[in-house]
Amino acid sequence: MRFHHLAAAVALTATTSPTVAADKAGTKAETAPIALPAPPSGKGQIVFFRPGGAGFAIGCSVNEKGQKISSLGAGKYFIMVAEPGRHEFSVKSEATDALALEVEADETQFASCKIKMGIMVGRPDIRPATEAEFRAAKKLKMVDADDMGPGEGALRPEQVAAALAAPTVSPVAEQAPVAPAAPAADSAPVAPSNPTAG
Amino acid sequence: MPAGVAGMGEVVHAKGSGGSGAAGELVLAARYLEWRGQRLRLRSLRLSAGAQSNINKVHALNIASAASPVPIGLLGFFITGGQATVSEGTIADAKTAEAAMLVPVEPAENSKKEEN
Repeated sequence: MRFHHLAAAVALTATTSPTVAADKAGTKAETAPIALPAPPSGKGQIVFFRPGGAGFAIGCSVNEKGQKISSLGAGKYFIMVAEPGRHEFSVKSEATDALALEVEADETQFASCKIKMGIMVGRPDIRPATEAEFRAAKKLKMVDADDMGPGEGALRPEQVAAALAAPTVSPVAEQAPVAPAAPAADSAPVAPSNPTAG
Repeated sequence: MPAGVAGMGEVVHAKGSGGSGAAGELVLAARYLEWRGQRLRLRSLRLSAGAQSNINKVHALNIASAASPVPIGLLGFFITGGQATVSEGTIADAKTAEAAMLVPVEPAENSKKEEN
């Protein structure tokens, strides 16, 4: 019995995590919707993301044809530009999971990775997703360039910034700053009226 | 092009639901519609199979297991996600991959009906 409880505890520690402390300085910026550039003409792109939560210590490295595209930590995302056609991706830890997608020219697709419960460590689970799921994931940040693969698969942050700055991309609408309200006019002190005895 | 025209699609990716709450996966692609010997190529099929993932439920079970003397977290291995199914008659959106000139359906008969 005690052994079973220990095993459950091991599985728990491998798949669950304490809440990651929010970066207070970047909280305001994180609330803005993530701007995704349009793919280059004639090519498609896939946005891989991993919602935060359980299994934060488990890696979810996305590979294609045995070559690493990028690591995908908890609460991270990256954009991969790809030629149109069928692409097969895999993630691996204790077990391997694979996903095939049909990349279409000039379109963006989404795929998510979650860590599910495993025997010794959590197992990454990669699956097709929608833009709504991507938008619903809170506080996603782009993968650091250091964690991306050596190839040209994942767009580096500077490449994304350059693509967003291109004139063909419509920038994300930002809320206009609200003008501060005019201060209320100071009211003159009113002298207390003397009550008259009737 | 009348409704009910036959076409061709392809299953790009399929995976049944698995243990630990993993949902089933289904990725489909539309290839073409065929009518009167003419093929209209299609692309960009948008179809959400909507399989439910129970991975978060298993994680919640594990958290509950940590506070319980009974190792109920092990039950998570036997909890599966939903299956990805696309039922017959499901309406999906796809784009045409090329410009095509289609002959209207029997224009002579249509004009007769209008006259009557």
